[in-house]
Amino acid sequence: MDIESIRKDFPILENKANGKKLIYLDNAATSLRPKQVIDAELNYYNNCNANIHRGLHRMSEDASELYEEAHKKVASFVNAGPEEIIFTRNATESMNLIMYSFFASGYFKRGDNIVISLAEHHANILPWQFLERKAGVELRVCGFAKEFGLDYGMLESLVDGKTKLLGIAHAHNTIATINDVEKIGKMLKKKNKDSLYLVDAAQSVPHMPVDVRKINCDFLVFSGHKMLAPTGIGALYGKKELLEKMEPFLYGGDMIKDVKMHSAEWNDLPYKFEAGTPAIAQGIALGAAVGYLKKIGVNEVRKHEKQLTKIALEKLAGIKGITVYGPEDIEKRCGIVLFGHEKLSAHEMAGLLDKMHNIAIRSGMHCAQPMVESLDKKGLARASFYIYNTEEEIETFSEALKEVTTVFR
Amino acid sequence: MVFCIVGLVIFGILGIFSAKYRGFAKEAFRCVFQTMTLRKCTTGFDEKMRIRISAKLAEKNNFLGKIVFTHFQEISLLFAALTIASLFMVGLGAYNLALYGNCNGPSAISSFCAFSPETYAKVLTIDRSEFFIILGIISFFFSAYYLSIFISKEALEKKKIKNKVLGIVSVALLLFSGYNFFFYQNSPSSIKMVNTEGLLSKGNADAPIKMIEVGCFTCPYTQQTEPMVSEILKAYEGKINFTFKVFPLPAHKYSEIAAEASACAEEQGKFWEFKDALFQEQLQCSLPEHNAQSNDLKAKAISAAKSIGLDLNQFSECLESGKYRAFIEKQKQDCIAAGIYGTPTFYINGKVVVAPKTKEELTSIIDGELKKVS
Repeated sequence: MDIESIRKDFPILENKANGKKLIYLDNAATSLRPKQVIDAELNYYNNCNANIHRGLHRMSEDASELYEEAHKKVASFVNAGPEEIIFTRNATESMNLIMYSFFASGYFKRGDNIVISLAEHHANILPWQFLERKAGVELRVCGFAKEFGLDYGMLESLVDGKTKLLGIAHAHNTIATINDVEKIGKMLKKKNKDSLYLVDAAQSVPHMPVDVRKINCDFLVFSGHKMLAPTGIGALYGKKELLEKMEPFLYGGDMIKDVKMHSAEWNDLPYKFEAGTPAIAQGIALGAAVGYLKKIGVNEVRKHEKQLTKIALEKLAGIKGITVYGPEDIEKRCGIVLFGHEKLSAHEMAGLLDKMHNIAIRSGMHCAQPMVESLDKKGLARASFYIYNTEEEIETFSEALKEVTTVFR
Repeated sequence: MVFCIVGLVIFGILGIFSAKYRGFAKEAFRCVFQTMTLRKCTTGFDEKMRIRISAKLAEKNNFLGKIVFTHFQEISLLFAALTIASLFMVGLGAYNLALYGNCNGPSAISSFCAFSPETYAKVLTIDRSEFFIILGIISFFFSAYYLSIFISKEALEKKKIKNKVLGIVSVALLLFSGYNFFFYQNSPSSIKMVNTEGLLSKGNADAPIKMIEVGCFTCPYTQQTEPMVSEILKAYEGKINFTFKVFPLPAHKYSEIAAEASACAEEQGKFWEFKDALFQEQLQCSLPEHNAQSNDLKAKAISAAKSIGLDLNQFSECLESGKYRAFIEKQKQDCIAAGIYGTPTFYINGKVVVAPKTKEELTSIIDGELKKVS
């Protein structure tokens, strides 16, 4: 993996403030985009700007092909069938698609339960909260055992015959824990074979190999903007047989085959779930992003991030007053480092690092308030890594953090 | 919240000149507006600014950055208080300027006025009452802040020793400045005896009561007490020896010309008559038409001189020559040295009364003194 040549694809990294080069460590929030992705999006507008599946002119055909190609690329990236990948706006919309579709068909009934974990992103909490209110479903929350590992025993005890869905993150966006999603899937289906299994892969698909067949989940969701693609594009993987049975989420153009005044026949997968003109340029660019990641090799990405995380953990452990939250074992965590300081608040650290060193990290609740609040009521800081981050950057970051916490403590 | 007030004023002004600051001003306004309408300020403006400013400072000097970072709230309070205090003073000054032609009010000693360049004093002086007004406003802000910490339930963790101590100190400062402003500052007891050497006096030289009036020809308050003074002099005829010492108020543009004119009248032996004439048609600083031109005022002085039958040629010559300027300046310095803070100030056998509202304030002292003698 040649980081120097990768970095050349990201012109934004040359941006300077205060004479200092940008160090971007907020990749868990959104990643940067390489030239290749931006060019792919631009190419659509410049060369084949047309609506898809509607015209017979050249540009429409080109656009349709590129858009379908993107579905195939994304599908093969997670080892799914092309008809099993639905383009959405983001992981959040994918979650809501699942929730609304099953809610509309009356799948969730009073007395049923949904199991999630304490560390879930709000996107994997709030849709189920809605069902708590509207369908009388019970939301069961699994806690964490020692060293921020999921409490598998507790999770198993929460699942029963009334469990209609288990939703869990593959990698958590705060404490960085990577859950054994294969093991969870097996446990779930063993205890209740009819229960739906949903995996939130927003923090794993961009950073490590993900295989939906191996995980054997019913649904898997992720966002494009966290994996080098533009904003406004994300994906939902669903098992074909489930997607075929499901009620559509949005109704309108493109999601139909045949429409009468009082009835309609839905389009084939995946377009049954892509009503209206989709984010065509963004979808095509997502395909380009996947291509970019494939070229590097997602195993390489994971290896690189492990190395960066290892350095970061070592360095941060040496800074007085800093507490790092998350598993110590590199194998059990993703490229995210969540930390707090005994005196400085997360916002203060983030603000000072930005203003003084042009280093971008995230601070606050990270859209996982229940988890973060259980660790620190005021929020925590987070540094998250990606393919273009270098070991020197991690060292600069920890030096800067050391300086800031020494000067302002 | 506190910083938002300062920010609103500062960025509001900067925003007039540069679009760069308009965003900040808008944000500060939103924060102030939310707080004013009893909502929580959600902009995080002060926090952002705190980090921005301390980061900038830390680049120059770590210690400075840290001080601002840790004491941002206190520093903003200070600036907010200073902003409010200066806005208050500016408002007061503008009001006085519109009404009296100087920033400092009708009986002001201080001549500094930022609004009218020609009245700039050589030295900027803040008199004691102004000092305690400013100190009072600042400590009021701090007291309010610390009280709010102790009252609010959200800020329980802030109830540290430091906050307690600072809270007590601010309340103490507030009380101290209040006490000074209302009870101690500018009390007649702080005024020393004024020098009357070489001044004219009226009445029996051996009279038991020696009354000195320190007044200014352009001061409306001095004019208002004139009838009172003549009544007293009439009622206690033979018992009072009366001296008038002129204190040309530095804040009044024409007070010195009037004072010099009175010395010129004295040259012709008609000081008392001239004084009455001047007060009758006062060169009042409160009347805009009299603020127009110094020549007009000279004309007024000459018309007063004419009405009491002075030799006009001699009088005008005297006024033009400015030969009494040094003498008048000495009168002024005498009064400032004595600590006189308002006109008219009366001394009755050394007992001081400042700007009496009623005749009784003076007569009661005179009666008491007379009783002592008998």
